[in-house]
Amino acid sequence: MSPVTDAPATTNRGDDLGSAGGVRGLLWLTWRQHRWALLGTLVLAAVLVGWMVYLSAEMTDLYHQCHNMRCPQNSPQDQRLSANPFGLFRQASYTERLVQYMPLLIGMFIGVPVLSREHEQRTLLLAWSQDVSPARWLWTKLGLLGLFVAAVTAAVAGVSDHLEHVWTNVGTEDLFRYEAFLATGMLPVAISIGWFAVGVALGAAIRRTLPAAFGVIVGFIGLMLFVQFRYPTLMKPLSAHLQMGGPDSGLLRHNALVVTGGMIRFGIEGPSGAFDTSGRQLSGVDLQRLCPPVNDFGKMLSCFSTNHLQQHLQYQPGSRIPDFHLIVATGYLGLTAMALAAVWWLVRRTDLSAG
Amino acid sequence: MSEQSIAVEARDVSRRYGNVWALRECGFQLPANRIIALVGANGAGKSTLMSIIAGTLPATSGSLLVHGRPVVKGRSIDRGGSAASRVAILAQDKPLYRDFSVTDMLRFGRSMNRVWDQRRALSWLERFDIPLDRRCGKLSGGQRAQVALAVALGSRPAVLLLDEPLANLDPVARTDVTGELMAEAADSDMTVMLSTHIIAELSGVGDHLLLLDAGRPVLTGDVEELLDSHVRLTGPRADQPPGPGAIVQAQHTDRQSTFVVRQPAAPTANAVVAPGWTAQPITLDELILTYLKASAKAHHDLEAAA
Repeated sequence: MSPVTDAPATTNRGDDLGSAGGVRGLLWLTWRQHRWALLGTLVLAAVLVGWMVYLSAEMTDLYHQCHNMRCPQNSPQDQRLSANPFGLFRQASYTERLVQYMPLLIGMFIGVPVLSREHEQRTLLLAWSQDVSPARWLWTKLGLLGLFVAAVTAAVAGVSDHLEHVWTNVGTEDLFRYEAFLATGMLPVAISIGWFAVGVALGAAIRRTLPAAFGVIVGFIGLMLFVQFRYPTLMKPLSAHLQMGGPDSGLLRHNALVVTGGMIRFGIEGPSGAFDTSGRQLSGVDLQRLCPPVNDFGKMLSCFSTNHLQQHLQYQPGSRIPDFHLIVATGYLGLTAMALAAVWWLVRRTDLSAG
Repeated sequence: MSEQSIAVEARDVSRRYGNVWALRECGFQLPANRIIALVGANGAGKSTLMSIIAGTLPATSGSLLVHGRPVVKGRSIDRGGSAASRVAILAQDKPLYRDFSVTDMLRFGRSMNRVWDQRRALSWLERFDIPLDRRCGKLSGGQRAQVALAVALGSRPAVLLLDEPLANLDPVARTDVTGELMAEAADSDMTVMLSTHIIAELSGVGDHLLLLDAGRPVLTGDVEELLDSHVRLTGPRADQPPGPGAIVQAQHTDRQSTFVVRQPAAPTANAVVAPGWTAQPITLDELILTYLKASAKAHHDLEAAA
């Protein structure tokens, strides 16, 4: 007999599942297989978080220098904020873009290889013929990687959310703008988890890393555009009539999102977007005749006011942002659930032959 | 055979890929603690059978038991399987994680198995001078096969399935590996099943034979007993051999007939069984080839009749 009991330090026993074939063993395996992707994600997240913390601190400092108001145009502080190409606003938009595309990178580099690389290297038979069952192997790995993704993106999302709020104080941006909307609240976490799961599912279905990664890119861009097109009307917009040239009613302050209306067109045969006191919409030609566009903007507003012209708007108030976040996050979590169900279905149907 | 002494039992196991049957109504019992040679031509269903035994491929119908416990696809011992029915499989292409070092592969084995014998795995690698710190992707084909074997042996399975294990090895390494495998099997309660389509690889290795042809077992049994019970009878032209036994193969010329016969009792080698007839023992190679040819002829006759 081979002396199993003579080598206690290196021998697993049948009753010691905690250290062998358990979470610890799979934790090591997950780390060993995905360490470069995980380290890359950590480095990217650390750089992003550091950069955003720096931008937030700088913007806050300038905000205080301008007595907690927007800095006057052409002031040194405004120059520092708005300069191109490395003004703080421009840098904040770069970080915003990175936060927006981070889920794509997670899907491609962490999600896709989980199963596609095993298929490509034909190591699934090796992995699934050990004492750890395929189900345990799959769900433990997905759980560990999912936790990592959630933790890293939560850190990024927290700092990103803070930066966006500082930015709205210092600049003219608002939180309902699509890029800002995606980079705030819980959305970076939900979107990252969603694309991680989709990446795993595509890797399981296509079984090749490059085509699956390409599938993630196409799906990510397609869904991002779809959400951008659809998100303004996820809830029924509110309607309002605004007096043109009149005092600011404050309706569109605090991050409101204009869904329709608000644009004035001069000189065209079609509708101008301006309404007279009887509620009739003027054509562009009528509006140009009534209030000719001139270089003096104040004079033009005065004309609008004198003629009691109005605009009809549909908008989403900024107070709805948390609700919209919840709706979009729920959609992405639904996508996650569907992707994981597909992964489980594909794994159950995967038959492995030794030949 | 008692239930304890049966390592693998197949009950009408069939497996179909689309419209093609890879295995058809396979029924056999394989003894425990032996080295079983699974022989068959390419496409005979050897890998499919091994994958079903390992639980990585479901049977289309029938059931398969390892040490009396039914094999269920995807169910390993952490979900109710028994340690006594643990099966390890080494696939034809000896897959390893390319970017893992050999040491990492051993840790993989330790992490993924409830039972792990590091000393056994290390000793296997030392025997074949495999560098532990080298990445698997940089190893030669033969070295990769040794690492894969070390991982399989380290998990101390009750049944070790080796699909074409000698394919990547040079002739010297083949002899070494088969010798070491036989020693490992003799030293432990392990049943080894190794498949091959190269009959010459089998000489002196397997002590039990399972011969597959077109997805069906055509011959199974202890190698010694099979060789003892088969005889080649050569004599004057006749339609039947001059003694009892089932005809496996009959060949005729104008003046002479040759029969390979499976006899109920062991014949005496080279004995004259009837006037003008001689009886000769046959080798394992001849036995396997005879059965494969007989099976092919039976298929051909069936197809012609259809």
